[in-house]
Amino acid sequence: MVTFAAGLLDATVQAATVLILAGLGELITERAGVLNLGVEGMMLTGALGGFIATVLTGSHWFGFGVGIVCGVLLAAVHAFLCITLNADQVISGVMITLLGGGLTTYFGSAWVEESIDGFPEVTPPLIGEYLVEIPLIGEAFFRSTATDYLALLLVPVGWYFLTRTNLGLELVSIGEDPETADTMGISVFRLRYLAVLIGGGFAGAAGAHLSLAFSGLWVPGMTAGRGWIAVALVIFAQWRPSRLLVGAYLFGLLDAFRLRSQSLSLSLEPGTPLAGVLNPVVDFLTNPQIMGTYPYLATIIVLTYTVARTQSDRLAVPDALLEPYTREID
Amino acid sequence: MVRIDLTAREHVPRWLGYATPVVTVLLALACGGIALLALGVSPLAAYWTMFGETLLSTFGRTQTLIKAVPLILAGLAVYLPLRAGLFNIGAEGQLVFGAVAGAWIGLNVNLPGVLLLPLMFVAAGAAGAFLAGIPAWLRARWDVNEIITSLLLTFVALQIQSYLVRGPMQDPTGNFPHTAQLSAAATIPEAIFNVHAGLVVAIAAVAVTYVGVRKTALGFEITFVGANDAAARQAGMSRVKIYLLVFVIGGAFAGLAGISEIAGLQGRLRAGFEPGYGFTAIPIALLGRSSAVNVMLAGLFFALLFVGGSSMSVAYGVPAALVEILQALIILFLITAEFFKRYQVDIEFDRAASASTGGEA
Amino acid sequence: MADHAFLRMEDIYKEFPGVVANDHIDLTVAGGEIHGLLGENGAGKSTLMKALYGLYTPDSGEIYLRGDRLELASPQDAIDAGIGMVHQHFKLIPRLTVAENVVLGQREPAAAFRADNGDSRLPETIRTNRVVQSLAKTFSLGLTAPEQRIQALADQYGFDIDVSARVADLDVGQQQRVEILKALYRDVDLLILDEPTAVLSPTEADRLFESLSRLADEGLSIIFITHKLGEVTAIADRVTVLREGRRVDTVPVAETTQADLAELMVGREVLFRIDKDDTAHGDPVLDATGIRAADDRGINALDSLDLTVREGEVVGIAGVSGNGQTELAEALAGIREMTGGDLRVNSTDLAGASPRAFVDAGISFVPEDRLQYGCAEELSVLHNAGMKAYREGRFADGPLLDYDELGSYAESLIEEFDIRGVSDVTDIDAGDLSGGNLQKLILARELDRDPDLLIANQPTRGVDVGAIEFIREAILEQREQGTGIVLLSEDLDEITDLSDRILVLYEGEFVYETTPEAADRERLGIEMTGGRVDDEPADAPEAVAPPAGAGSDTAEPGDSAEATDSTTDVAAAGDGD
Repeated sequence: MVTFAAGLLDATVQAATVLILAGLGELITERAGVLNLGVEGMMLTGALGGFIATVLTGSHWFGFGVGIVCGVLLAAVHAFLCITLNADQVISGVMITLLGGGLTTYFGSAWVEESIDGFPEVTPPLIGEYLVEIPLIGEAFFRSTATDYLALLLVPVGWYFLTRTNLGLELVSIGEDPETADTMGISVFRLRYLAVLIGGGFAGAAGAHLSLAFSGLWVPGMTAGRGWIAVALVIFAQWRPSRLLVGAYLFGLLDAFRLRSQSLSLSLEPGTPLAGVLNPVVDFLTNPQIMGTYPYLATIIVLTYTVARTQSDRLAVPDALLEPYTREID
Repeated sequence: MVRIDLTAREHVPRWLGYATPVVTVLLALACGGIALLALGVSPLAAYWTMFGETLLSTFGRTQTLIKAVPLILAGLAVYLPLRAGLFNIGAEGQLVFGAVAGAWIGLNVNLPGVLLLPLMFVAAGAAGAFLAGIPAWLRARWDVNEIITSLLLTFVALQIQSYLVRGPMQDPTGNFPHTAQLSAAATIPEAIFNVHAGLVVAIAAVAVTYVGVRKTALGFEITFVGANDAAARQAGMSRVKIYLLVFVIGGAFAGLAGISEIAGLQGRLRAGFEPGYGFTAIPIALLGRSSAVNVMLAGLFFALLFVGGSSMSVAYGVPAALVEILQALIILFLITAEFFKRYQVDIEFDRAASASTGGEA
Repeated sequence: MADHAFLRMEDIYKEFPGVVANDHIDLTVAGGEIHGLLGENGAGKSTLMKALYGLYTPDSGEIYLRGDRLELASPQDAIDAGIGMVHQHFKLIPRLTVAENVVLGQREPAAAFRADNGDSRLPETIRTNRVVQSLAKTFSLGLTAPEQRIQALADQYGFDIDVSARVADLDVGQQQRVEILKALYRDVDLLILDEPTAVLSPTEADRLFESLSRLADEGLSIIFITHKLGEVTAIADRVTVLREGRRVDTVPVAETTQADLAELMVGREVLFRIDKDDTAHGDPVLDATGIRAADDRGINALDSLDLTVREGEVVGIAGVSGNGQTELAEALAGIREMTGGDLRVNSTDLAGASPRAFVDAGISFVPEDRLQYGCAEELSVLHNAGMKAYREGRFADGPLLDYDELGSYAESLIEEFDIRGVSDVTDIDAGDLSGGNLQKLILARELDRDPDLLIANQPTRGVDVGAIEFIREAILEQREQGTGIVLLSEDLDEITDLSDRILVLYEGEFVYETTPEAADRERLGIEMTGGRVDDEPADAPEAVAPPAGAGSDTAEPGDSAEATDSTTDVAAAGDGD
């Protein structure tokens, strides 16, 4: 049981990192008022780009950097379409996902055979050896790849950025009321571009983590919908970094659990009362595919709840999300 | 110094409306050609195989028509809400739901084909309509963004389908993630052009939609609500009713797309059976946004793209993902074209050294 | 008050497609002066101030502050020059606190990095380094010092504000004060306020005026835009009156009366003299009592109105835009929810009914904003002509809609109402028509239904002269056919020419009633702007004249049929929200 739990936590942490990275980026983008549905596509290009770079140069960090750049490039297209051309953000995002998927499958076919040693799992310097000893969570949390730690560190950084810096304040303001922000002298266009590019970079990083740390492989479509989960996660987290972290672990736990649930016998003994009713129900609820719906259902519920509540709570949703902004010139 | 002047067009010239889809496709093909060159394949040869050879062979034409059936129906599923100004991004999920419901009927209900098939279609339509109704209702009741909810529900539907074909609906004879083969009674027979009767359903759907939108009072309302919902409301049209209706009907069309693919072609419900028809429906609806007939033409074109793409991929050893790239490029150029339709861009090369453009005297 | 002008706007000219918003206007304001900018909607006040605030660039003319020429390309330039603006629609972000809203865009660095912070642990050389400052301004946020300063300012001027409160939690009056604090924080020398009391209760307005007086005493120059006479006489030192884009006059408040100002504002020209038959008025068509409604921001716009309209009667509602006209028209047409009151049309109870019920009850509506509520620009003339008619039986062809019949119908409307520019009803879109022709199309469609009640809100705004006459005749014709008509208009000539009865709407209430024969333009002007009938210069801000409209003795409903050049009311092109 203990080993199961430890293994579960380990898998949770790994699964969460991808979600944290992609989710933080999307959170920043959406806080600025732009919806990016192209996360999946950006992650894929980051994964492939990073993978190729690492295979060719042997350097993980260089590959990681390349992955980020790939995400940024794709995000630049989205930014140009949505911010400069005022195109529909949803259509552009879906297009980016298709484009990223198509491009990576097309150009990545040559790289499927390769494999690399991913980022090594390390313990934090100095205190690491002691932290690892902590029962149950020690191995899971404190023996991870550099990118895992990076993701964790970025959460408070992201929070600090949004709430305690001027740049973050301005970014939040353009997501709430770009007209007002414009009047106050803030450059809505420039900041929105920045937010989208940051989001793309994070998504690229998430993808690179997948191919460079999580698996050490490239497989077409390897993101397997994690990009969409990240989008859902941002909503579930009500656009707050702290909740994003919790949500990422929650969704990550769900993901890890559903892959292992088969090996765990959760049924009650036939003799126990209600076993006949409960067993099938539990079986159903712990079925891997059914569990796969939970993040999405949870998000729909949270979103409905957030939107349906009274005025003061609707403040959770960035007011200007999805609205293109044009300065009314004479 | 280059100065770019944007002036909003007062009137969109008609020729621009017609030229746009054509130019868009050509541009996308041109860019795709670059990708082909990157893999050392001649674009002209590849495109010839893709389009020319496919159209010239009977087999190719038949395959195209078969492929077109779910694409046309899915395209309609996005087109109709678009007409009313809404975005049905959950067509993929509605399609899957329809396939599941229809297949379930087909596998579990014992009726002669002449009764069974219509029942399957009805079930499929109802299932798709139901799934589409959820985001529509959430929007109408609580103003929850229907784009996000319909998108998330798509993934829920995909998971549910995956569960069913591995569990309750799994073919008992093996351990594969698919259902049993549908019986002959539950299989759509061939109807026209060597294609199963699903094509008839698709054409009928196009006709009904076309007539409905262009020639009925309801279509009048849908068009008006899509053009200016505030004025439509003032005129007494019920926005909520229209929104719900177009989403539900769209969902039904998507459901029909699902079942026609299963019962007409694939023969059984498999895990991951649809290569993103619901998302391909988006460029189809955008290309054909002016009329249901155009949606049908766009659907045919994309079917050709898929069928030709796969034979090209085999012939030249090029990943079939090129088709996905082309799809994305078509969308990309379409939305860029939107911009040029709305604004006239004048680029001037300014010889003047200083750049002051003071409005004041 | 100094003699040299602190602010000098010279010869400002600004044109929009189809209308001249500012026609060579001069304006001077002294230091420490409170200057009122008075005028009807469309007079050009907002445009002029937007030019001063950098939101618009005048086509020609100059602005001088303290004798220096200003080039204002953006609001930031204006702020840098020391000009601040308090907008009518607040530019605040509800989610953020007062301090955050005030400080937004200023990039205040964290306390440790402030150049003036003697307590900081960072050595001065590092603190004042340019790179460090730049980084600190971007990547840190200091609210402590700003909060103290804002609080000090608030206390100084008697604002009761908690600077760390979320703006969403403040009431309207407090929010407005935050807007003012934003300007004060930036050390402005000139403050522009755009219709500041539009959202305030009388008590709150008084408090605002007190604060403004104190500010002026300290040397701040203030310009405030208004259409309310009472305000001007209450606190302004001087007032400039604008009308139809031109400056009519600038007078010291002490030397004028509200009556004079009203006259300057509305003028005396008569446009057309239309002969109206005496029609017998029939039974009441519209019977509305106690109507209350809120505006888009949720603030109460209509304060328990009673309105009765009989068959064949035209009730003209005069008033300056922003006093509840839009809300009243929309409530009567069924597209705005009433928060209270009863509404009966031909004894059908319509309170809380859907727009469809209103349409079916025989109510026609010509909205103020024709592009927003009156038509679908991208759709053809045929579609727009049939916007309400399509449901009628004559257009049904079995289950289908008879488009051919609709086409003929559209064509007949075009013919009857002399609508120009339509070569093909299916090919030409509503957006292709000129303002006048589009308005005629809308009117045609609405009148052809032979309604029992017609609501017409600013029916001739933005319309060319020829069409204006046509439209007014059409309204009178409909009157003869027995339709009850509610006519809302800012154009007093229109009101006096077409109405059987005149009501003045001010701040959501009917403050005066009269008839065209008994009406005195001056009186109407005063009532429309909330002035007192017999007032002395300066004193209490507002007064409400008793509704019983026993007109004054000097009845002069216009004189010679002076069909001078048109004084089409300036369309709301960029003016007034």
